[in-house]
Amino acid sequence: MHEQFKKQPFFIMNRPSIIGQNNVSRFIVLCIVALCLADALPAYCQQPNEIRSGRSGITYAKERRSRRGSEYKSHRYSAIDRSAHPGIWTLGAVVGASYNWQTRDAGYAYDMTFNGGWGANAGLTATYKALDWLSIRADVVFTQKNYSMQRMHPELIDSKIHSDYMCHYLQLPVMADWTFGSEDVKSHIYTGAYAAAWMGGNVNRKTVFQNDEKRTRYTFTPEDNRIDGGLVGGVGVSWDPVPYLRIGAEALFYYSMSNTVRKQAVMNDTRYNNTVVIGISTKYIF
Amino acid sequence: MKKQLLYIAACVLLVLTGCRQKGDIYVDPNDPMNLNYSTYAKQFDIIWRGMNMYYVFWSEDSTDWDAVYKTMKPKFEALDNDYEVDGSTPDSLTFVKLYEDAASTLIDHHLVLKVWDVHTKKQYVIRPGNMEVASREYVAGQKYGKDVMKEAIQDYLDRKLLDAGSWGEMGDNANFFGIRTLDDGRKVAYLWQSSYNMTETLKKEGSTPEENVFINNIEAWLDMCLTETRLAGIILDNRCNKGGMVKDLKLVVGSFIDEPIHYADVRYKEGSGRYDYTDWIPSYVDTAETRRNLEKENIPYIVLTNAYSISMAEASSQVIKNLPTGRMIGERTFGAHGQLLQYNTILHDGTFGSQSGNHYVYTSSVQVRFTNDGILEGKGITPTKAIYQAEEGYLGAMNKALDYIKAY
Repeated sequence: MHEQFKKQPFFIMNRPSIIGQNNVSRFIVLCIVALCLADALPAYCQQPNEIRSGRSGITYAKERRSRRGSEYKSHRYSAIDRSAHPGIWTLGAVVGASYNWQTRDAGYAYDMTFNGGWGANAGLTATYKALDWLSIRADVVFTQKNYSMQRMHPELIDSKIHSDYMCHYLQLPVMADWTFGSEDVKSHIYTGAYAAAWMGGNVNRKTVFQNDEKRTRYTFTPEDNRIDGGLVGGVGVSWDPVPYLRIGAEALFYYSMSNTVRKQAVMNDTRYNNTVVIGISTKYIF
Repeated sequence: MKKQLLYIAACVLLVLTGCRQKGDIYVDPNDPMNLNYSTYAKQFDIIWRGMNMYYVFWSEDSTDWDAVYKTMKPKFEALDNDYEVDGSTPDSLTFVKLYEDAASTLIDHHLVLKVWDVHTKKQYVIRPGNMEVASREYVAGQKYGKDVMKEAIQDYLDRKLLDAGSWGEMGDNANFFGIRTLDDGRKVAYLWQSSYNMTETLKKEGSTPEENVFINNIEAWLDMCLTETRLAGIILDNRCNKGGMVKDLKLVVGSFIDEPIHYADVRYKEGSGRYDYTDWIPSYVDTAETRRNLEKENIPYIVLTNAYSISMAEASSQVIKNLPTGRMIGERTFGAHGQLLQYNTILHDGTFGSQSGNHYVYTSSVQVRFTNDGILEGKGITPTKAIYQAEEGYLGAMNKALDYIKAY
């Protein structure tokens, strides 16, 4: 396997895979898998051991929902039921890691490769429960969209040069939160769009005729497009351990529709960001 | 309904992922496939795209390169139409004028466009830097070049501005080493060169008497500058010097300093975008193994310049100008400070095309930012004391240099 593929996660473009040869097809497959899991897993996790076999999670979830009337008065379910009804707000924090790669064309520079880069992701998240099964979610998150460029031309005196770009974005995703599952353990599917601003960054670079790597603050050029926007989708699970508190884990995919380079009148140089964010969240249920 | 809506939302998202714009395909202007074409429009298109990638001054150049394409492309297409209609090819003035219009505002003064008429295969050369320099007020009507300098130096000898000297030639290059003994017995070392290649020349053996003189002139000038006990001053004449090897800085400056000088920062282009620059990388003048500290001995070092002091002649003038005992006398220089490297096509900057046709673009590979004065590409180095040949001829700067040394 080529060296560059070893460092990259499975969903990166150009890496042979049994679930498809490009990002979009992998995203479709992941969504379908997520839908199936979202529908069945939470209910399956909650059913007693003695009845775990012989019935599907979906069937059990229906039965459990029908039994809720008799359990409604218990302390445990009073808080959870409160969050299970429309009109409920949640506010919390999300923190995690990001992995970004760029979709761009190196042209005929066969020695030039672009690799993805890991970064940080943190911010605030709020949801409003519009229906039993649908919430509106809006976040304000700081996300690093990092990537690196490498050149290994044999004719260069120093044949390995690289630039590691760390790009800091402030993102505002707005998503529909499709909720599945039972009262205390839920799964979520997110679909939506986002707007973002490229706030700054750094570059770790070892360039030609330079022996040492040097870190500098990224200087914006007139051709940098600092406004970003695109689609976002993903999956998550949440658990309400006590009244008023929800803990969750999620994976979101930000698919940028904005070229990071301003469009030139003649030569359009396209460089799109693709960012996977994985994180955990803690939310207060109002 | 929940699932149906979710599936619809997921489908909408998936459909929208197809809305990303496709980028244009990069054209390699060095690829033989892209060197053989038969239309004027294609030739302009490839040169335009090559410049879009390989030109190293986009961060400093105010030329609207996109507007150049939109304006000029239809004019080249019109040439193709004329050829299709009646087989006519453009006359040289028309053809050259189109490329001059396209490139006239580019600041890279190293830039030379060699274009061949795609049908007649006649070659044309466009030098936008020369056009800008020729339009300067103090340049208009003046003569520059090796022959002019030969006449000027003979005049210095006739007028006893120099007591003795020798003219050497090697190939197209020439130099002159001269000595002036002042009334108090102190001596002035003078060197003029048509280009810089001192370091390599000193390694060579001359094959003709003229070449031996050429090599000896460099050795004699250095020897006198480094060992003469009654040295009153040094004059390095960079007028009409077309530039050359930057490593000669070690000889003409490094021989006279005890610590390396951070004289500039340079940067390259590492990607295909106009602004895909590397970091700024410091450039130093290293000290020579044999050296003499002019500052400690308080010996003035004068560099003479004119509008055709080019490239390395400008870089050396800039460094000497900023030495503690340095002084630059003459005209503002040419303005070609970018350096040229052999790695042009690898690093996405510099020269591209083929010398055998149909296009060849000679352009800088490196952007240079002087430590003291910043990026002066296209502007030139401004002298400490301005003396214009239009006002005082070739004598003016030389007289001023000698007067300065006498009074120092």
